[in-house]
Amino acid sequence: MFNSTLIPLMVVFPLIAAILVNFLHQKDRSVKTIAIVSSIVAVLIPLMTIYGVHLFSGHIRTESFPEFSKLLIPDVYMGIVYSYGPIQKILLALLTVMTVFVIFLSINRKLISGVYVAMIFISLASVSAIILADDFFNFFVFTEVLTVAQAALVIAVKETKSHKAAFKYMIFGTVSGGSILLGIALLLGVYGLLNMTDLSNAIKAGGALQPIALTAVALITVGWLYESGLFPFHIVKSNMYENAMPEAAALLQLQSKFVLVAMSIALLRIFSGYTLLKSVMLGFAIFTVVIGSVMALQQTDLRKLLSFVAVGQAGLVAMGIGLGTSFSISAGIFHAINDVLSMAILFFVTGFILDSYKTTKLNQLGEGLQKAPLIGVVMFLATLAISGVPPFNSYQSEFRLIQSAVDAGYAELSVLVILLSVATFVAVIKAFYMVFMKPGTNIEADPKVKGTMHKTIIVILIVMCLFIGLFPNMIYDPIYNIIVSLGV
Amino acid sequence: MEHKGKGFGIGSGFTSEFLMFSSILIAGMLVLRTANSVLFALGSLVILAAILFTVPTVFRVEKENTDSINLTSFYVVLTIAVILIVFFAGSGVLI
Repeated sequence: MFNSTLIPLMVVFPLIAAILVNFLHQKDRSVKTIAIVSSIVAVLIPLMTIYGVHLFSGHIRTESFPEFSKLLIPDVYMGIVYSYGPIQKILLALLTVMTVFVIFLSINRKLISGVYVAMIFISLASVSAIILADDFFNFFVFTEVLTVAQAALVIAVKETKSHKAAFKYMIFGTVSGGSILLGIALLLGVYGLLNMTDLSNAIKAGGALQPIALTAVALITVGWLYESGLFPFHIVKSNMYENAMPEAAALLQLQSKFVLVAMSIALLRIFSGYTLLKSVMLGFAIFTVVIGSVMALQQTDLRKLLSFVAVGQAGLVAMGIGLGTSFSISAGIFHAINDVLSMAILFFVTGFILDSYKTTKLNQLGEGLQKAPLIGVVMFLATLAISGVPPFNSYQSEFRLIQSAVDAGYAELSVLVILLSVATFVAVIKAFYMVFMKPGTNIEADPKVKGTMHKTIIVILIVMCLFIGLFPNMIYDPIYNIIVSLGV
Repeated sequence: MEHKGKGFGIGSGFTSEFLMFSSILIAGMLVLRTANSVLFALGSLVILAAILFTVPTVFRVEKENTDSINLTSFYVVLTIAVILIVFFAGSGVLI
């Protein structure tokens, strides 16, 4: 029962659930039951599975590449491989738990359309596959599936601006998808391999990258920027978060950050000897984090503000990865885990505000603390958490990011991280004041909205933030050990 | 837009302006420090002067970050070109 044969189930099971709920579209009670049961089972699978590698069709790892340039495609068996280790377990556990929360909130909001829930499951399966895949083509296929599923979640809002956001996301998705696929094709042409571990070995054995391989790295980096929501795709990504239902936005930002982590590890593993890649990653990360924070400060709509904060925080994760040391990469991944929790709370609070007031425009809101004190208190705590205030989780990861920047010889970046934390605090505390403390508002809260589900979930999440903040090594140590062993 | 000119809006504006200043200066310092100490000193002064002459920068940043598909397309193309040039030039293929 507890074995590595369950690894493919992490992808296959959500896909089966997606097909089922899609098939039962408009049979609300069945969809609701299947959605709840399947999402809970999806949480259990990563917890029950032991670490290991699943070799589809018996892939045999190639050990040496003495004549890599003469290697022909049929010489190496290209089966799909899924690797499951501690990092994957942490990411998948968090991903599945958050999917359960989003499904519960969507059902609570009466969004129990079979297609909508199916898209949530498809996005879950895609991100799971992206996290597990050790095969570059399989990785690419699921990034494409994820793009479509995320666009569908936004289109489900049925507003013109949501349709526009999803349309733009798909257009740039074709640019990104094309770039990644062309990059993979070029690598296949040069090395005759698709498996990431084999590719990494082949590239190490081959010495300096050839111009064709350099083009491949450049194209895949463009795809990485899109999938991660970094500059210049930060606008498209923030537009998606802004126009999705806030609960779906919480899931989308989590998926983007986990894809950022998975793709960064993949790139750093494959091109481990190519230091310029890390510099480029770092450059785009800095640009994104600054632009994201500046834009967040300028917003007057809560959803848009949080969308830019989410984008800026993704930049911070990429900054840790781009610094390129084992310490900074681990800190970056740890920050991704911490940040998705805090951001999810803020998006769920936004969902409650949207339900109650039917708007998220900051100038129309106010006096919320009298109407929903618990939500207000949790939002304040989440603001502290996302700004890196102790004892919350982001403090632990931001502290490690600062320390790793100094250790890597970039003391300036540590100053930048502190400044950006302050900017994030100012942006979110402004929103908190405008929603919960500002006197005088013309809008009445809908008395029918109790928000019991929202309250329960955000309390669970803030407790998780506090717990990780108090016991960071439970999450951080396994990540660090794996990153050191990968030698990226 | 109108309430951006009041209370918290002004605070946010100043914070973002200060953040832009600091980020550009820090990023410039980071790049120039690794190149040469004289270049670092001169470059930092030039960046500082350039910032002072371009204030407020934050509105320009905001204008460039609208959800216009044209602007995003422009920056995407620019990014692809920059990445290709950096990888090729940095690996000694072009230069």
